[in-house]
Amino acid sequence: MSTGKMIVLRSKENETFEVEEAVAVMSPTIKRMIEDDHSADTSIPLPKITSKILAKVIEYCKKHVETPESEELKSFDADFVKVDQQTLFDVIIAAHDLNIKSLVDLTCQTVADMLKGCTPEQISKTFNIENNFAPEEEEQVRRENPWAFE
Amino acid sequence: MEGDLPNLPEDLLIDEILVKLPVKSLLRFKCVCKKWYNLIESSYFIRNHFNNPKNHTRLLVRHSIRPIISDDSNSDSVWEDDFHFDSDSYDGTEPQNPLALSIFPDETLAGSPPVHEDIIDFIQRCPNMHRIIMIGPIGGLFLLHTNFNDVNDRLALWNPATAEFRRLPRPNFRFPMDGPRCVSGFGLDPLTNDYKIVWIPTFWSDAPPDLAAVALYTPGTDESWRQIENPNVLASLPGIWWKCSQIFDDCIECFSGEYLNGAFYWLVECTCGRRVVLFDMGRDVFRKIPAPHNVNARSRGGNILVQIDESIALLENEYMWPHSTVLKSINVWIMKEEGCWTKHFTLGCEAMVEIQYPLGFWRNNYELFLETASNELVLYDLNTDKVKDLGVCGDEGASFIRIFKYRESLVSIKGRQRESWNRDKLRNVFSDFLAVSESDDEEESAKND
Repeated sequence: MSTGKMIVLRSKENETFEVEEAVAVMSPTIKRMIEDDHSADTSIPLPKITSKILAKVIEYCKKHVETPESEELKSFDADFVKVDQQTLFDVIIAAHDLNIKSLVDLTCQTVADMLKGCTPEQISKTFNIENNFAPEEEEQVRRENPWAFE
Repeated sequence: MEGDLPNLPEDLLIDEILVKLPVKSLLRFKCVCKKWYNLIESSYFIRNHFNNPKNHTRLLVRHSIRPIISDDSNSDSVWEDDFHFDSDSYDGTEPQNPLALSIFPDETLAGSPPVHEDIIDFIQRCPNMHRIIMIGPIGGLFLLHTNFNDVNDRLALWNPATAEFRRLPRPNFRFPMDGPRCVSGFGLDPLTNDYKIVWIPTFWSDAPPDLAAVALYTPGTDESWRQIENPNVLASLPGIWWKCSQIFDDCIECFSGEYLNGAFYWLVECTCGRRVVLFDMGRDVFRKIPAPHNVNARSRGGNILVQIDESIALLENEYMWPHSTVLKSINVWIMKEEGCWTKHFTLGCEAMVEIQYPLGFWRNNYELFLETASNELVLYDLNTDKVKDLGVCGDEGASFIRIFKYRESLVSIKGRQRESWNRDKLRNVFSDFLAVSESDDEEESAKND
């Protein structure tokens, strides 16, 4: 039931992206902004999302609106997340802000899969977390489940 | 994985990423920092992790390992040293081949036979595997209960995902010498979310069971079990024993048990037929429910209670003729409300491969696990009529195949005292649990004299 209405999204760099309404409303956040705004001419500002990331998000939403659940869609999703880590994290944050649950799930699962086999040290580095255990305390924790470190 | 990355918002990291990780990774990540340690131990996180849709239900199967026939006399059989099968004492209730636990990698039960994994690897060679009754899993935990036909029945809790194992101390009470075996139940108190164990020790003695013990376990808090007192118990008995004679008065035998929504159900054979007994874990009371009135009290056996959708169901087996081991049909009775049975449907078994027993439903109400007449485990789809061979088998004689729908859980059963568990220690602890101790041997041989 597409009304053919186009929505304009504005990125952080003030670049505009025109998308079909059906694609835009995959984000409940954007949907609400459209409903709240009664003037049809205004664009939707998304100051926290860069053009690069917004383009990615739009690519995802477009594909998911156009394509039914299928091997093709699964294949698209698998390729979609094959990006550098910085981009992946940025997409996660954008998807979270825009409340696009399926995109959050997809990207977060990808990160989870990457983290699965990591050591605690690698985790610390990835997320800039300081290890505040004293050496003997950490040793104690390791001894609680030694097999997990094999 | 290095670099100056934007930090993800913490709630995102925890609720969307960490919660999707397998238990083994999370146990390792407890050493990242104190905050993560506390997070991974918190009941909030443990619950979300367990309930996360990404925490898939997997099929855990107990089955037999049949020897690979080989002419090579030097061939290495995996269980050779550990399995001592005493053929003199074989009476049809012991397996001819060792039993093993296997877990299928994912929900599709696809392709090749199940894979041995960390979580079950260390118990694979226990020679007395057939002597363990596994109840559950409830929230990722199993109750293990040994079945040695003597006074030394033991109970323990086991979390396969965290490789934790804990013996349950027995109530301080001497059992009669005529060899009772206990019947147990395991589930959750729906009000407090504590684990509860019901222990009925005198089921197999001459007198009908009239005592039960109920123990309570709150994960991570206490070091030992708390036994619940029943105010109705007679003063002459130690306080932890409950009188339940009106429930089990005319009972002869107890069959399968199943936990659902705050109650544990047993199928019980009585002098007047079959009955379901339940223990309500919220109210801490036993209740009796008559079986569906058409259920044949004289039927050969194999009737079981299972879960279907969100109800308890009774699978009633009808065999081709009185001493046949081949099923003619299975009647599926569902109890939507307590005490009220409806015959949901009857599965005719004559058109398909010969079936001996149903074992339970998979993730829905149309995929049913069956053991064939040649002891193979198959999955039957009621909608498509397709039978899928799962590549595992049981043994002749009694049914040794057991299926469990298992999901990993972080629930810790170690309590405050932190012990280190490496694989060897765990293997030893398990072996001890299953060992027939010296005193048992003496009693055993004394009985045989």
